[in-house]
Amino acid sequence: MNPCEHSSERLNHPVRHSPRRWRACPALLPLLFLLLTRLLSFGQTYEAVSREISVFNFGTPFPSVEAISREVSVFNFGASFPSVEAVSREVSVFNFGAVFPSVEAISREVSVFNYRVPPLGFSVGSTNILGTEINQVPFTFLTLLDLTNLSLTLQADDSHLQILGVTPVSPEVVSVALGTVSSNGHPIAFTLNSGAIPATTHVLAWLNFQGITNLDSAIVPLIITHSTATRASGQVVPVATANGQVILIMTNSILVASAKPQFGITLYGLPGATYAIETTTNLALPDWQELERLFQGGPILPITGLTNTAAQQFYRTKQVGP
Amino acid sequence: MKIQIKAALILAACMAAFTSSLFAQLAIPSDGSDGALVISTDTVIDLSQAVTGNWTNNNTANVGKGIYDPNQWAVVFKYSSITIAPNATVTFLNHPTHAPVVWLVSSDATINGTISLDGQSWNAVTPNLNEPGPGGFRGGFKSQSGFGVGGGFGPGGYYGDSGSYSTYHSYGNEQIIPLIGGSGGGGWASCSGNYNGGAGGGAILIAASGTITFNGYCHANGGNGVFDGGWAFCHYQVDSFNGSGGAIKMIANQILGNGSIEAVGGSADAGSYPGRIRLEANTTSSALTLNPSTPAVLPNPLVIWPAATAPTVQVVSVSGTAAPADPKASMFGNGDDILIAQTNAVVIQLQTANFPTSGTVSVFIKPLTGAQSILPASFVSGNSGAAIWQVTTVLPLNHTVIQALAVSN
Repeated sequence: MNPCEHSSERLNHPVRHSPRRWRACPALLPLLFLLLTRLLSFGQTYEAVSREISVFNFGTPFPSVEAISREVSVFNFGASFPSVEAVSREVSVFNFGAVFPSVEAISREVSVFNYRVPPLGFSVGSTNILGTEINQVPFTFLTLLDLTNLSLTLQADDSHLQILGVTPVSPEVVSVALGTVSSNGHPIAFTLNSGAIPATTHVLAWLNFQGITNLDSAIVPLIITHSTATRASGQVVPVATANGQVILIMTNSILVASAKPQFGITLYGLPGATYAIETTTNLALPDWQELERLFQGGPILPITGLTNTAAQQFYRTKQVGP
Repeated sequence: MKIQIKAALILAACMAAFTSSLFAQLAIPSDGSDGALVISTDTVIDLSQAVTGNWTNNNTANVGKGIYDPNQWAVVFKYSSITIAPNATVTFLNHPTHAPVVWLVSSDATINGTISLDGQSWNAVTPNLNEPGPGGFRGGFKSQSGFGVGGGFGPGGYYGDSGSYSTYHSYGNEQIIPLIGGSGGGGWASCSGNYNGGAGGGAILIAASGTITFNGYCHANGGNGVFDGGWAFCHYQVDSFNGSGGAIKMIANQILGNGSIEAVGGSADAGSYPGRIRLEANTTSSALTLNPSTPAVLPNPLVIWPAATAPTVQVVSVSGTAAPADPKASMFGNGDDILIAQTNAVVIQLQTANFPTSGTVSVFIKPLTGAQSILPASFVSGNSGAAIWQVTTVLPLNHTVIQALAVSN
């Protein structure tokens, strides 16, 4: 700062600004005063030479405007340690997200049985009854499947047989329901324990029935229809079925031929009666010839020793004894 | 003085590191509801006794018998601890689905005895197929009158060849996720007789929160085929083929001890292919003997099950008949998963999830008797999230196993 200027400003502060000449530096005032005094006192021309005064207007800054700081060493190591090397911990990353590293998927094994004959057999048996006898035939069952349900419809001639019920036998039968008879027959539904099914052919249940006497003797077929089975998985599988029959004897006898193991005839008749066995080779011109007379000791009378010499041979029987 | 302080600090740091490893626990999801497994004599664990359900269920009502989780295809035991005494051997009876075994242990496991998950080798009295270790696949069928022999089952099972897993016809991954065992060897016939193929080694995961001290012997080896080179007309004739090694995986904070872990193929003089071993621990003993050899890794991240977004493929239906969600692939006993009666070509439908539609889906069709075929499935519809694929082919009569393998390009 210039002290002269400072002084000038201080003097001039409360008053109006003075002309510039009055703003000389106060340090020069004594010299000016001496010079005026000399001039006023003698009124003559004197030569006076002032001492040389050197004036150095050094302005606002100091003479040396250069400043040099001390050396300061600066090492910019930022946020890290002086050693700028940093090694992270190892991190193992296993990306098992949407796609595996090998991008591979393996399915479960599924086994398929492509069959010609369904691996599930169900049949109803055969028998014969006299008059109003009560009797039963077996429902025979064979499967290796894990079945939980088995349903079927049994067609039987209601004019000859009255279906009484179904009695479960095998341990896998949880329950059995005999539904109301309709035009299709008798609906029967088994509920099974899939884990308790024997692996061999076995009797699943008995079908109980009774003969009806208001008609004559008859062979009453027992026909299974609408049979399906359900596995534990829910899969519905078909059932291979075999039908049965009931030979109902009222008054007339019935002959049933069999071919295996060899030709033979079985006579179903009234026990205690005597029957004549007759044969012919032409039904258009019947010429029945009696072969033999047989006493029916029981409900079934096998007739053996028959020899057929013609291209076709017909047999009949009629009761000849009491 | 400074040196002493420095040494003390280093010692303290080492002790801290050691004790943190010693007492650290992995977050193994086990509630211990199957109790403590203590084996002191030879024991057979019947996996078919497991109750079916979600593996996370509390199993105190069925303690010790495990939970079969169809979604994970695993029989899961949640033990509080495991102790297997020396000279005691643990073997398994398979679950009907042949699912692998998972032992989740909430504390420590000390195994000084033997755990065996070997596939069954051929023997003269084997009536049907050789059984694999749990999680593995069956060996191929021997020839029957009127029928040819069958190939081995599983993704690495082939006709007239030994089963493979981690090499050759490889499948799966080194993480062993999902847990899956080895494949069966093919059956074969020669003038000396008909022989079933060796079955694949099984698969087991033993995961303990604390320490597995393993001084015993765990093996999941493939079953042996038959090699008979001594017959007059059968010189150097392979009669059936080996099953491949299975999978053994252990996870723990520490795996200590000097035991032996083995997952190798059958030893008949045919091809013999190894399975997989995986050890995941913060500390693993270098004294363990592993065959096949495999480096131990840290259990980071801890993965027990495949992620929900993992790729999957499944057989959906055959000839319009839906496949069960939990197939058993049983060709005996309770029967097959699907029954059809078709002499014409049928459609085999498959579904993938989380799998790119540009990938390849191969369908293995393996008759019980006869040569197998591998057919590429065609993409039908969908996207990488869920897609339908199918193959149209004539299926042979009798029993056939179908399995799909999806691999991205």
